[in-house]
Amino acid sequence: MAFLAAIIILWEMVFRLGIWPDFMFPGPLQVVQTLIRGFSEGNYVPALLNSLRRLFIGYFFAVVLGMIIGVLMGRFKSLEETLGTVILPLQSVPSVVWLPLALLWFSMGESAMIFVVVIGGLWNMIMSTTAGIKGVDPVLIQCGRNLGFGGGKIFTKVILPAAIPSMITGMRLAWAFCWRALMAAEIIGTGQGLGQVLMWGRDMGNMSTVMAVMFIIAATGMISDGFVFKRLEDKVYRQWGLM
Amino acid sequence: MLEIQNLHKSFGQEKVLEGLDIKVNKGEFLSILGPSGCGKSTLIHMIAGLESVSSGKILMKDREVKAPGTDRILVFQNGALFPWLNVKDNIAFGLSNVKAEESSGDSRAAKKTKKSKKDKFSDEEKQQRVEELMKKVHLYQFRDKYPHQLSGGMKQRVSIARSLAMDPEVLLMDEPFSALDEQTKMVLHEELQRIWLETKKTIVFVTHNIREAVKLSDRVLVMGSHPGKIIKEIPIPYAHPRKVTDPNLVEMEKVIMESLKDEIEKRTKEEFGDGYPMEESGVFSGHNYTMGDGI
Repeated sequence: MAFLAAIIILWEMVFRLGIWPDFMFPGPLQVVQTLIRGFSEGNYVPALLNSLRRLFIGYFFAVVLGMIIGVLMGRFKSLEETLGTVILPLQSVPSVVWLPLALLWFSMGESAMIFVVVIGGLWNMIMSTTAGIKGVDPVLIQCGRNLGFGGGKIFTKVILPAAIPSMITGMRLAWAFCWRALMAAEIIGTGQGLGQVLMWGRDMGNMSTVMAVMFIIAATGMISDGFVFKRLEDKVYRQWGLM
Repeated sequence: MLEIQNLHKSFGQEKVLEGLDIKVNKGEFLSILGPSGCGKSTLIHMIAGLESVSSGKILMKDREVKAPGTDRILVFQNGALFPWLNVKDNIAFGLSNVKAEESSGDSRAAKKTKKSKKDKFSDEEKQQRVEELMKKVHLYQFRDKYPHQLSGGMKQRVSIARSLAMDPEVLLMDEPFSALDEQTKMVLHEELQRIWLETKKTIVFVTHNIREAVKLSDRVLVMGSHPGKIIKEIPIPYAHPRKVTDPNLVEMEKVIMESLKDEIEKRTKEEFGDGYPMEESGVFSGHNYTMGDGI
């Protein structure tokens, strides 16, 4: 907290030195004012809601598809040896790179952006799920067989639940990656989201708006991670005896 | 009840078990005692059907064991509880797999007739069984707790209750108390003895702890290693329940220690080289009757 305050004070001091003109380097007070004005004039809330809608839709598909593919890859070695080898290189491609292709494939800008969000979270979700399925303690599987369960039941009653912690971690990472992917896509693409407000600020030469939007992006990411995902992850890891 | 005939097991080139012949009588408490690495864990996993047989036979009520079956339930070394289930649900976990007239081993046959076979216990019976077992192992007030909230001894009691819930013909135990501290171990010895006397289950108990084997068993099979084989059979003819301080039992411990002398010398030489002063070390005259990993 003290560190944060120090940074804000430092920022204000640099601002007061007046090295750069106001519009290029706004001070913290200006940014706060812009934030308040933006919210009270109703510019930010619709943009934020638009962005969140895209995020939720894209994230949903990323998680569902990622789980399905991840589970299949964890189960079938042949799939892991084929599909698995391309996942890692695909993951190192920033998802926004897919946007030009997506814009071409989906005539609508909205679908293209959601596609980029899905791609943003998908690879991580797949890898975490696969790791979870493959990392199940073999003693638990033996114990399940010992208690009379056969292949299919072992999978649903032992392997899947045992893989939940890893999947939760995957969901947490996927959320962060989807959020980043969306912001990149919105800055380049179209539609009424936070990314557009940020670009609008740039076009107007209003860095105060740019910074205000950056704050909203950071805060949204932090709040969702801290209040939802981190808590869920901690709870699950504690119960599964992993921490 | 359970019969093992000329059983061999190798992992690749390494012979783990060689020519084992064991007969387990109904209601008997049989311990298999041996140093770490003698293959006793592999043996009990094979009886449970979790490990394949290289050659020889394991017969359960005259039927060959080829797969896991609910007539033989194994209590694992570390409890192997499911962390996402509370005590009650862990104990009830396998209950729906217990079918009426469940017979040994052959899961393929069981699968074919699955639909026609009814659960051995009705839903009320299942619930009642779980409640009774929770009381039997003194965990009723912890029924809603999860494994991470339990101590090592409690986890092992849940594991025992979960195995008993299946109403197996033979209860297999793979060093169930080896990870526990000495006090907890003593309490659980009493508990297990009481449970055994009450339920009259046949128990095959694998351990490296001589005192434990002597206190609990009707008969102790001493195993040697590389490759694993039975080197001595020692009946413990005293009435249950027993006290570890009973001079007869202390005498028994000495007999077993003596029978293991060659084995320990062999292993010590392997690990320390020839220079270890075996006679002066007091291994055979002291009070160190448990064989841990560090011999």
